[in-house]
Amino acid sequence: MFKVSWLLLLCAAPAFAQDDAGVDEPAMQVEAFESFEEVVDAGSSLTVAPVLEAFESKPWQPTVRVYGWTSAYVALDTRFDSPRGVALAENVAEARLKAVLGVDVKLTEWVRVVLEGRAQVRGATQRDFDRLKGFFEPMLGDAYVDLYTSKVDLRVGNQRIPLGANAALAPADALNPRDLRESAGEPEDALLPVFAVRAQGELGQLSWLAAYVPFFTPHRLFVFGQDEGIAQPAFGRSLDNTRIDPSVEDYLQDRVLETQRPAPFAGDLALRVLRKGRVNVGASWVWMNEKLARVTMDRELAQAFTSQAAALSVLNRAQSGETLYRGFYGRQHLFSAEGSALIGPGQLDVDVTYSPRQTFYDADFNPVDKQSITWVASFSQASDSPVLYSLSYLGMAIPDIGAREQLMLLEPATAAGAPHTAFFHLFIGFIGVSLWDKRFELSVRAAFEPVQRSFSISPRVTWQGVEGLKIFASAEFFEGNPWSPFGYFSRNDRVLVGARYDFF
Amino acid sequence: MMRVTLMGALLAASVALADESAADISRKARERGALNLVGLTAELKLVTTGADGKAREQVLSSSSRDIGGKSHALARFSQPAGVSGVAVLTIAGEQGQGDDVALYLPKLKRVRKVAKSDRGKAFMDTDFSYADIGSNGTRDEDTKRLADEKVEGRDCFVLSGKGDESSPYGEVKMFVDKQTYVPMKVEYADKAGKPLKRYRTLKLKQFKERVLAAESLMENLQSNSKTQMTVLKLEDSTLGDDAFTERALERG
Repeated sequence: MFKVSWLLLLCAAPAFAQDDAGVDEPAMQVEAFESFEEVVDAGSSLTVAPVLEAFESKPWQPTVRVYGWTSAYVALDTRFDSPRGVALAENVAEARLKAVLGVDVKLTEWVRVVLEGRAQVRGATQRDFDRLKGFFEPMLGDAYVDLYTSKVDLRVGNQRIPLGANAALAPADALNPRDLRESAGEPEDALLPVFAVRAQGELGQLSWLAAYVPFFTPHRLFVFGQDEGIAQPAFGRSLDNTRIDPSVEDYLQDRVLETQRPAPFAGDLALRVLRKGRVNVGASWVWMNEKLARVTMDRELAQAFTSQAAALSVLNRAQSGETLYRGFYGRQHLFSAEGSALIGPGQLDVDVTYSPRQTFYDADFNPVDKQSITWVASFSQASDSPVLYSLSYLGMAIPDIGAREQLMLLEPATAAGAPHTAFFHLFIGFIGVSLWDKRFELSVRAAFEPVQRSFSISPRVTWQGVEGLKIFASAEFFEGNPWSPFGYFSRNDRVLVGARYDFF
Repeated sequence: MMRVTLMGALLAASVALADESAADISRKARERGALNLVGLTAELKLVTTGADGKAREQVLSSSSRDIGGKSHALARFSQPAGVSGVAVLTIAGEQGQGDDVALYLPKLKRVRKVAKSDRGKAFMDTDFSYADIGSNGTRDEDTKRLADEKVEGRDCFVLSGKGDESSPYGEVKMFVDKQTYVPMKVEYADKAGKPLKRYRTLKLKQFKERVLAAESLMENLQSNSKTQMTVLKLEDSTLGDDAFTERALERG
């Protein structure tokens, strides 16, 4: 075969030499891709590649890609609202450093291994450098083995399993816990990988996914002592966190709400089917443990920090074996439908999810079980443009709310008084403009909740003058009444300066 | 009557042959074109130099395969760090519908579609467009042959075609090397007929029994930017049909 090709090339070469005879400039030469011994046929101006073994494809060699980035910011509160030593005082300054380093090895076309480490350092202080505190947190990032076959792709290990159509807001996208301590980063940065087994494949026009998360991992959150904590001053039972030493405060938080975790292997299951076409439509089912503890607290226990009498009573009851506090993770079904399509220059993503039982909290922070329907529609950019944009609407309906019930943060106090269905609406928008060959970006991210008229707004300026390096300055403002979703955090307005560098 | 019919049939056959020939040349040229390497996997370096003289470098691997009569092109970026892991799947569309372009974004771990209106725009900030990846901007069957010319001293077929509704181009003139079917030069005009881009093959290299453009240049004549593409590595593709699906975009 090689010999025949070689002869053909030798025959072709003189013919071309003849064609080019009347041309002053020599014709462009053909070189070989692999190193080879050049053979120039007598009477030919064309250098041809001898068809030798050197032309054979090289055998497969593993590929190794190392990747990583680091980011840091410092933030300063724009209003030093709380004086020193008060309960749940706010942080007025904060610094964070995060780093990710990973290696992606493709052993063969069918086997791939990814191993990624993450670490973050955080320091924060209250007014006058009171309660200076911080933590260092190493964690495993993406760490999985992939096996690819023509029918099924299998992934085992620590991973992210995206579900639903909307990248940031799909209610079905619930297998991965979130780091609720994040407020300055991108929404996707808050999703934490979990150990899971995931298989996906195609059946004609249908693509399918099945996932099993055997071990439970809750959301990461601050309960108190930090600006993102769920116990803000508006919280009905103020907690005197000044009695807790800052050096141990951060390490208590992870488990402070829980008294029981799901047993190993009693984990999460997900199935998803998607039909691809001009309009992608799909459905999914998730059966999972809620990622936020369902906390039942004895009323007297809540007063123990502020009342000596209550503290003594609680002590007596505890000594007699009474259960005063319980925190476990409820089990939940999510039945979802999704769709996405290109419309003009953007992509429309729609998700609708029904849950027969979900944990909510009433105004006294008592857990209540309710069914819920959540819907999300987003229109986001699908084209390269100097104007960057996305608009999302999230709605939620929670029927069968009792006359005396009011869902914490989701509805105003005026909602109580008669049995009703709670409705929650949220609009999230992003608009930006990219200037000077994409080296400079001005953007605003905003969220508005119309029922209680609370909102947050975050303008940002980003400069990317050096490849891989982004430097930004931004601000975060929260407004609304103290029991509204954004007003609850309204004392935490701040300005930030930071940078991110992708170094591989 | 019979003579008229026979002559008509011969004429029709010769016209059909001419059309088929132009379409065939166009198809072969497309397979050896800028980023469409049927049956091969190439590692490519793209250096884009803006009007201000600043250069930006990207490295990607590119593969192409014909599945069910449709060209499927896959590109995976490895450099720079900001786009590492991004993968682009381009599936040739039906006549007049434009190609179907899907983009895998590793940060989101999700696949997103590229808007039809965007397919004439820059491919990952280079002077190649998404439309250039899967096609040469026109449909093979709409291509006409013009008088042959020489480019870089090599005899070339000259083809002319009009971009369809989904194409970013109004008219495309292609100079295809007679010996190798490599497009030596392609001139693109916008919908208003104004010169838009010019593609040139700078170096030819041989791989087994095929010859391909090892170095090429795409110049945007309106923005004065240019992208030079160099084939760093070339090998036979071992990828199956399943590698050219949205599912496989995350494979890295």
